[in-house]
Amino acid sequence: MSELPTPTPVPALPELVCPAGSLPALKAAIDHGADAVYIGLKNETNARNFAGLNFDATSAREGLRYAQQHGRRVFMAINTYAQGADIGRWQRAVDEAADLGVDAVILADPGLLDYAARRHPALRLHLSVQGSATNYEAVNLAHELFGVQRAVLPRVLTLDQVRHVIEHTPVQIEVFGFGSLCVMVEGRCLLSSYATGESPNTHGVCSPAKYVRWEQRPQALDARLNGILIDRYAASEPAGYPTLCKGRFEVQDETYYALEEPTSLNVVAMLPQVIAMGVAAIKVEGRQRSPAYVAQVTQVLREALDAAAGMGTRFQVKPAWQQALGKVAEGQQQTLGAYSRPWR
Amino acid sequence: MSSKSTLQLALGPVLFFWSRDEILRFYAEAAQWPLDTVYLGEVVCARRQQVRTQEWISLAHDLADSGKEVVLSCQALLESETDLRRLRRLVENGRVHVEANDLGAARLARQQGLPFVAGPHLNIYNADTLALVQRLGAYRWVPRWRPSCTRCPRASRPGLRRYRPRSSPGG
Repeated sequence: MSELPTPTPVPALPELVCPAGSLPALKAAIDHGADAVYIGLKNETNARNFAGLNFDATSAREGLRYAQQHGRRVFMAINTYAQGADIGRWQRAVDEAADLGVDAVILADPGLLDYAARRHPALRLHLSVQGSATNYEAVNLAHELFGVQRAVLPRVLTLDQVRHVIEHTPVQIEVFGFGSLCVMVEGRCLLSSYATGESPNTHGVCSPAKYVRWEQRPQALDARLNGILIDRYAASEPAGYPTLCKGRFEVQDETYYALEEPTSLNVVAMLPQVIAMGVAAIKVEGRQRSPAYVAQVTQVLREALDAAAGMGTRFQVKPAWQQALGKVAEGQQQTLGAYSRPWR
Repeated sequence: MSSKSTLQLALGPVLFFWSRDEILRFYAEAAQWPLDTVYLGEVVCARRQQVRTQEWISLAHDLADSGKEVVLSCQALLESETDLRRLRRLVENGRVHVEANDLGAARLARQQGLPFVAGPHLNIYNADTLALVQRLGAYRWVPRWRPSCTRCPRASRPGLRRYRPRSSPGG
């Protein structure tokens, strides 16, 4: 086979950034090929504030030790919005991250970014997806004001729009590669607040578990969120977590996924384009998911990224990858999400 | 304008998808109303092109002639270069202030030296962030109305009230 011409230099491979909601998940990510993991503290300062998840100082230290031993990096997400009379909790979380020696903090709140930049000038700052920066003007403002070195883009842009941002900013761009998909713009969704008074921005959690009630009926299982009926499962149907936007609602006498069907984002098919445009990192969603999920997704993405490295148009998606990812995808469905919008 | 001590009356931007004629009729009437401030512009969706950016600007300048404070409200979600081009035209309109609903808009207003209103779609949750936005040039803040079962008066949520369980542990 003759060599295909390669006019442009192949950029360095994007970093694979994987979720760790627990120490076992962190180790699973590192063992299966993550370049970096992201973690959060056990409180409302991070956007996956679920009971039984996340890290205290002891487990964070152990996680850092494990990562450093393997030459990998640890980022700490402190990516809810500081509020109430005492925003000191968020500032102390930043101080704690700096003391622990994490490789970067992932922040959304402009006031907190300002605090981190002033108080810990050596601490590397990433702009969280919750920061809602969807255009290069917003990304560049975060760079000018706080010295942000990387921004995670909300999952609303097409691949061309992602490229356009990359071409107009000195800030590294991180994009989501796999995980549960929401219909909203990150950092701007009020739906969970409407139903429960708590949302990712305010309490680090969408459709909080404490508002969830399961009601077994003769023919069905009802899932309610703060009293609101989110879904009703027949005996033969697998029941999912009653996330507000992914429920089945009655609209004009029809009951269906009126807002969005439960779906996972999966960009494996687009990896060559993602690599070629200079994306700095690919992120996997799911700090609320099990170590087994983290291991599976990390392993597949590692293999796919390595295969895509330098192969350009010869890259082919292995059916085994998609099968493996399909098993752990939310709603057992996968999509390219906003990255591909042929109807535009 | 902002030094007035009496409570002022402001009209927010139209969020509905009205036809161009309806929009023009609405603001012709609004010009006669006892308002201190009028916010106008397309905030919701980039695909709504019933009223073009230049028309919003002309409308804003006409309303300003009626003696009101006029503010051009900018789109909440800015994704494409087309979105940014429209935003730049608003910021460079040369006469009235803008309401920034995205950090990108705040950056452009700051570069232009144009004082701006920090709109409800900016994530301002604490005094530190508000002070920061003020340093960028914000002279007013429109806080987001945040629906909240636990904090808002129940009467403001008639739709939710009937769904509320008798007891909500942890709520």
